[in-house]
Amino acid sequence: MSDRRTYPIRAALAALALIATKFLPAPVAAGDLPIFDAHVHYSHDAVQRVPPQEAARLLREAGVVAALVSSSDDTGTQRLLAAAPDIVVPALRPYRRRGEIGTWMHDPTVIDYLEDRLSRFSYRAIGEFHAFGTDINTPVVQRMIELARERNLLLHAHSDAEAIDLIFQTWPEARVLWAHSGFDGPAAVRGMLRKHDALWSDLAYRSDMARDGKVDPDWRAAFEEFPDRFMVGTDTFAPERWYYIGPHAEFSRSWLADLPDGLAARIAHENAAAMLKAAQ
Amino acid sequence: MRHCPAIALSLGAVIQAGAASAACVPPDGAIALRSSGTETPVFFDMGTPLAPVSVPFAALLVLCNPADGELRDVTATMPAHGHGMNYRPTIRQDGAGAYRIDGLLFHMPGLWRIEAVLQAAGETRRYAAEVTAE
Amino acid sequence: MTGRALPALLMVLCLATGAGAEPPRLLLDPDEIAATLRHGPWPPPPPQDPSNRLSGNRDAISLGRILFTSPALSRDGATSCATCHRPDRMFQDGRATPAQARRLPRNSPALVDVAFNRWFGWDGRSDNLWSQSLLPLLNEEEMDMDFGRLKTAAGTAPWRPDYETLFGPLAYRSPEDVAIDISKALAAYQETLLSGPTPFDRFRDALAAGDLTAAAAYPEAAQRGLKLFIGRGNCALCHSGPRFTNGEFHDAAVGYFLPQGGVDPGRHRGLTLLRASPYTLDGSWSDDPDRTGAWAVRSVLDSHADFGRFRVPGLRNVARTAPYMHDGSLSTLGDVIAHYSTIDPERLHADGENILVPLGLSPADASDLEAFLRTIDSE
Repeated sequence: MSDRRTYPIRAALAALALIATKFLPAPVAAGDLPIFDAHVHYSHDAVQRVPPQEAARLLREAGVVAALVSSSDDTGTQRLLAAAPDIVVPALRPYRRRGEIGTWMHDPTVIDYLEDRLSRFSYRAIGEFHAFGTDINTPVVQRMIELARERNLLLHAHSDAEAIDLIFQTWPEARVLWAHSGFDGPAAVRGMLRKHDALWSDLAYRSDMARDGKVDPDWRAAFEEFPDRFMVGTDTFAPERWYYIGPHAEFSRSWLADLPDGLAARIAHENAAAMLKAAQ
Repeated sequence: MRHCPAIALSLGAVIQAGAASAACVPPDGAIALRSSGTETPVFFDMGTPLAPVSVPFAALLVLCNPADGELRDVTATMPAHGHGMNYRPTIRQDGAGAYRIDGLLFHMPGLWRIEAVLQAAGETRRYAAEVTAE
Repeated sequence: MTGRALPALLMVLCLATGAGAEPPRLLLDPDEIAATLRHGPWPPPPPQDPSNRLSGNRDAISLGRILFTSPALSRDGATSCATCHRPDRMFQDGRATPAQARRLPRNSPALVDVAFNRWFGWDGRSDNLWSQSLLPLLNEEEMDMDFGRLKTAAGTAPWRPDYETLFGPLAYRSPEDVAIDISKALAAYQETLLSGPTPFDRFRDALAAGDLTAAAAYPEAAQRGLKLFIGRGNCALCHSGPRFTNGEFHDAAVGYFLPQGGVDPGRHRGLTLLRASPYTLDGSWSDDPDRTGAWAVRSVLDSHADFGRFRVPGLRNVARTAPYMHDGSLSTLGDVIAHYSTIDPERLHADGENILVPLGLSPADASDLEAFLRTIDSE
């Protein structure tokens, strides 16, 4: 057991870690890579459980300098915008409750809701919405795209490749942020980015880009071919996930550290900012 | 870790098949993984037709034509559930075009899609097939 | 014999039991019989842990039994393992969360059959039973000891002679050695906490043996519940195998806010602690030169879904281990069934595991499912 005796400090540190009972995110060190979190929701139940000031604190503590926020219903986005106007980039989600994810495209009252919110508040995007394949051709989705076109708003689409193609068929000048990069592999994502110049890809809720801090070669090739199209996002789909914003920012920094500094900064925050500027 | 004795028995036969790609015939029970980019399959041999559930197991992966590339990764996902494995299997080369995969664990019963990623001359090719865990 | 091999005529088997009596029936089809067989046999061979040289050692088991109820292992001199893991309650405490420790947000899990785990604790922060047994000794919310205090306690404890018989003179053991010795003795004892066969196992074994007369004696309500469990309910996707668990981590749509603020990150935090621990199967404190089982800690992957995921508990003796879920938030089996019947899909990611949907069980379905669960009981 002689080797064990040489590690008393390690053992003590490990014991300290083992008995830790507080689960707070680590404070962000000065100089940490700023993060534009391009996939944040602040829905009705999150507003109740994580008040706006607390949500704003979690964003700041994580080093999130900007966040594309959409909520079910939109009240959450407006309240968070008031609490953190320097961070929140408001997007309008076509849902009043998350449970409408699979039905909204068949519900004409969604349009009433969108028109009402658009007439009263200012947004930079419509989304994140879920639409697959020919869902895009339904009157509700077509009207939603028209509303975006009238205001030159970005579309944040949780969609498959077919639906993305149909969005661009409907509105060739659209600017689209592809949520989760469609959960497609890097080769398929590259194909879509080649096809559509105004398509950006968020990497929310996926971790296949890297393992043990090393970027996957196929993803690296995608980032190198399209250094200005990718961005990161947490996806706070349940209220508790707000406490994952900090760990997720750390996760993003850990794998981005395997990329050249300039490329890492683009994916971390610059691309999202440039995308929104392009949509102005 | 549990090992599959049938794998050891069939390894020789598969490698022999790999050496003569023209007559590349899998041993009983091996699954042919295919890629849209090529006609030549890659064989995945668990030593049993059904994968176990929640028990780690090993498999052999054999290229009919070793020149098709080097095995870079093996993954498995459940298409119906949208999740993969919770563990990263280890890959050890076991002769020309032959690899031993350890640490596969399918934590749910049902259909799993196995994917082998081969790298050759800067090109990545993905071979896939479905197996059932029961 | 497999279910698929059974003739189709056995899909519904009627056996006369006497004039005027309703004949017992076998309600399962061949696929359901095959699925049922996969939940056995039980009991399995006794567990052995090569990372613990005391595993199966009679003297260590005896010492572990004493240590398990020894308040000398706590700073307040009043708490023992048995405080929360009561031998008269399937080695849990029947409470939502422990009473004496105000900031422990998790339910005390039952320890019967614990030795068969791949991961230990609700978040899987340990990959072996002895390192898991160390944690409550050191946790300030539980026994609140440190290595030095444990050695001091051993010096004056009535069980010191038993300890020294196993490990040699206490004076020659470092404080950390003593802590690990105690943990390994505790683990050796807990390995002996095994459940016996149940009415379900008798049913399953009868099916395996082709004794359909015996199988048909299994209550029809339990058979209907079993059909739901392995069928429409999707329960067996996670609660699989002879222990009715796949041993992994899932989001069961149970909230994980903490009463004191913040959240319980579950498996996400468990993996961080696991990787920081020197006491894994891959570490130098393992007694197994082959590092059997260390593949798991070496190769386990991170996932965003880990945040708020908890270990799937085994279901043997589940009727006697209330309350339920990682935080003890569901009081009865009926509450658990109602939870899955009316689960809130809004809590789950649209591209998550895509398994949990509201089952919409009728009261009769819920009653049948509970009747089945109550037959996985070795009492």
